Amino acid sequence: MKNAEELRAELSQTFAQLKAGEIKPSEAAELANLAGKMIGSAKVQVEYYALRKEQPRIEWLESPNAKVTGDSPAFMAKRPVD
Amino acid sequence: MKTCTVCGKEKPEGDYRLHSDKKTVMRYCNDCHLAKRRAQHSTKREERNAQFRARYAANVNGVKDKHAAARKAKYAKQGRAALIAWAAENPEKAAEANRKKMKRGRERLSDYYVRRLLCHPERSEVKQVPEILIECKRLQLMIERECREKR
Repeated sequence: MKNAEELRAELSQTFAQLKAGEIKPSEAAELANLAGKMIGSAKVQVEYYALRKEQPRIEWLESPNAKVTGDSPAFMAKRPVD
Repeated sequence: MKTCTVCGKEKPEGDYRLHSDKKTVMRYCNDCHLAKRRAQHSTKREERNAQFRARYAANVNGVKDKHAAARKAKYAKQGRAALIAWAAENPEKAAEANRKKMKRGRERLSDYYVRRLLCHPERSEVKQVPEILIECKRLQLMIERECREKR
């Protein structure tokens, strides 16, 4: 899992397998726990740059279809589209 | 003059309701009619209210759509300032509406709820959360809920 898109694909696959009963809940819970750590880490990075009012690229979150959501334009809205 | 079959009092015809044909008057006076309707209403109140709520939820006659359109038009005309003013005037109603919104969001894992979990607007400087992060968090929560259900 090199970026958020891969994590999303992995999570959605795990969810489908869990629904179908192909994997145990304990295994899925482990992956969800790990995903939580990765998301938390990315969140801390986003918060850090927001506090510093910087607009760097976060490669882990980068994807061709990357969008940002929120109420008002902030540091990430001005980021150039690759 | 006409005698009411319920209270037995003699009253002018003006005190009696008309039948649906709009020509003949009822056998009992208006006061007795109202008393009967009130008694009926008090016994069937919950049942009738449930029927009305179900009809509203099912959007029979498009009443729900009409209300939503009216709210949207009002918001477009008055903007967010009116909403904020209303919330300041009615703090209890606003808190209740917020509670309902959060409950709905928690059940459906809405963007608003997940974004709030990631970066709470009152505790975080982040105004815009990357969409991919919201999607990952939502999937993580879905897996956790499914695991809890299966255990």
